[in-house]
Amino acid sequence: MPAGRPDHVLVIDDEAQIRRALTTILETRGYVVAAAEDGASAIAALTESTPDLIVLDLTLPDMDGIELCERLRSWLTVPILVLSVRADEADKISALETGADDYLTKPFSAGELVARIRALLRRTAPGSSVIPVFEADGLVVDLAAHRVTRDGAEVSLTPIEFGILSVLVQNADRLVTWSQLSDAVWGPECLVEVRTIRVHVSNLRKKIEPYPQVPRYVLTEPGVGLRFNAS
Amino acid sequence: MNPFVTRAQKIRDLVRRHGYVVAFLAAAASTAAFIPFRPYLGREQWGWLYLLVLGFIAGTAGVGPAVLSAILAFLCWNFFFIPPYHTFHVAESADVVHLTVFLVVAVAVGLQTGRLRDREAAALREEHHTAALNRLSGSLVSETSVDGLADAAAEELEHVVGAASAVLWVPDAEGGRLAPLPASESTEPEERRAQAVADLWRRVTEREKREVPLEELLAEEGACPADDEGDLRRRCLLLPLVSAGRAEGVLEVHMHGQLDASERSFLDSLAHLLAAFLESRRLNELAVHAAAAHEAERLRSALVSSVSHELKTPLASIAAAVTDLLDPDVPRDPEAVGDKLRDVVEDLNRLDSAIADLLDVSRLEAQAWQPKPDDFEVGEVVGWVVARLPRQARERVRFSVPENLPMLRLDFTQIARALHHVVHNALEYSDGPVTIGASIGASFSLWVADEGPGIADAEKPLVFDKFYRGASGRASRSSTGLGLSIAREIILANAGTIEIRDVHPHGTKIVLTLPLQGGEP
Repeated sequence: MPAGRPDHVLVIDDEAQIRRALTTILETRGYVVAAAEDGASAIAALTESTPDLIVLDLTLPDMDGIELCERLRSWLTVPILVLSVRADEADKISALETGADDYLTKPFSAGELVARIRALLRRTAPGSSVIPVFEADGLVVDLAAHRVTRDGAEVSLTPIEFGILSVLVQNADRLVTWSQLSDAVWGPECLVEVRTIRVHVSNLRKKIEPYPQVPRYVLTEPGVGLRFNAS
Repeated sequence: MNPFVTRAQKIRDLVRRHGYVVAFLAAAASTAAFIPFRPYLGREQWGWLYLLVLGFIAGTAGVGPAVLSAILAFLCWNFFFIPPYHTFHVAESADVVHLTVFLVVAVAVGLQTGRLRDREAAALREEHHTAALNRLSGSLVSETSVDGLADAAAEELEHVVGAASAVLWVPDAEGGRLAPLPASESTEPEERRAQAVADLWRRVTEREKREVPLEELLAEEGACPADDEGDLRRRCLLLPLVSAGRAEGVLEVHMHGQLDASERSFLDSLAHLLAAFLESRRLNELAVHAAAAHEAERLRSALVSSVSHELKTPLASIAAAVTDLLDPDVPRDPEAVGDKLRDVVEDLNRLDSAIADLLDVSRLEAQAWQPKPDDFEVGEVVGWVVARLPRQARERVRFSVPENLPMLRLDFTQIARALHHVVHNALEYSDGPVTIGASIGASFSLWVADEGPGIADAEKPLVFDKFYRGASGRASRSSTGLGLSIAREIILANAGTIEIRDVHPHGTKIVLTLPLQGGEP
């Protein structure tokens, strides 16, 4: 987190207890937190000042959470973290399709929440946001040098595979949707089928995973995309 | 059935049904055959030959035709063989005696033989009918389906009364519309026939409501509209099938001719049998429904008691721990506070997984969780499940997944959830390593093997029951006993199977078998 200005977070949730808990968790970790209990007051708060991140619960008393997410996305670029409950998998997926950046299933621990928020803010932080080298359990990804090694041995990746891996590593622990991946690797004007991306991901796994048949780094998020598991 | 026997039976049948015609033909044919030999025999001997013909007719066609042929023989003998020929005039007085005695004896023989034949035929028919009814009551016991019974009844009717076809109409599950059986007989029931059957059914059920005596109900009988062939001799009968309790259905029989009394009584007995079968089947279904309702009630109450236990216990311990921590009078060091809070977190996880289980159960029971197939590789779903296990559990997991498995098309989330329950179960009921494996052939198998004590054969069918907890795991506290039943329901919803196998030397392997391509939603 940059030393100068603390990050601002807007929490939109209709449950007072959740708002209070999130406020406490985030404030004790140095964030500045504002809270809104419904869609209307969230929009009012957003017209006054723009936060660095929005935490949005999908069930709101006055409007549909997915609709709100879509409206916010039309004029805001800040990351949106969606809170969902287990039963609304379909809602979660449509929120991610309409512009949310990641999701967290209730109930969650303080640790999970903070890790998600940090991962989302890292991407948007200006300047030194890119991790130059990722290292875990014998896998080393040096983005600047375009070099990947597994247990010391160099791994040769195709440009597309390296592109996918670098997007995933830069967004470590964050959800990367299929369309985000397609935009980042092939370019926004290119419409690449998920099936095609899957083939490249499958090849990438064979090269970098310790046991490629059961991935532990490049995990699949059903119906949505991928998540690079760095922890 | 021997075709020769049926042909012989058909000829006998023909003679029986058309006895008078046969009597005429026999008299004419025998006379024509005798005339060329007229010079070789004395005129009085021809009487004996005519007696032979008469015996044959009496033996096969019965009393009436026998008497007719006695008279015909008398006339023919007189006309063709007693001089003067070709007149009924008798020249010699001795011939008058011959003729008179012949007539008396012939009629007497005809009457006697014909009566014997009739009695024998009746006895034989009775025997046939009894045998047919016996066979049918045998199939009442062995047949469980109405279709099978309808087939058996149609076959007997064809045999015994020579019915062209027989169709059994039974009310559907709601007791409303009547549907014809055997279904192959009339896939698209002719509108008029269906209407006639429905009319009879309505009359019978209305009378039944007014508590009309059984005999009167049985007397209700309909005729169906003429067959398309326009064959006037074809007759159709609609018989109500009435048991002691109520109307059970309608029997539609198409015949080639009239029924005699004994055939009619056979038909009635058969109708009684069918009604008895339909009644017992209906009562049986009622009993099965009652048992199912009882089972549903038992599960519901088990669910309520499990819910209250699985939700209240962690809640109670959280409440106790937190209120204790809030008590300002007790001095405590931060380590003890930390320990207490970690217990609270454990209880919270237990609450969360109990709620998740209940959510799964309710979604599956309401059939509100339809599979949504997606493309993925086996390993992706395994990785997803393992990544969500607690660290200590994750370290116990091994893999045995072959390389280059083809892509699957199934519901990722549901398969993951089923696998989660099976893996969780294996981790809970054993201490050693747990292996997750996969193989793909004609179908896709995903298996989880542990090295625990194994599951006794007697227990195997029970482990997929709701709320069943294995013998070795009764003490375990963090389980609703729903996991494996949820896994099974999910796998069944995805057109798969789940089974338990033993692992040598000890342990359990649970195998989920699924199609490579799930159905589209």
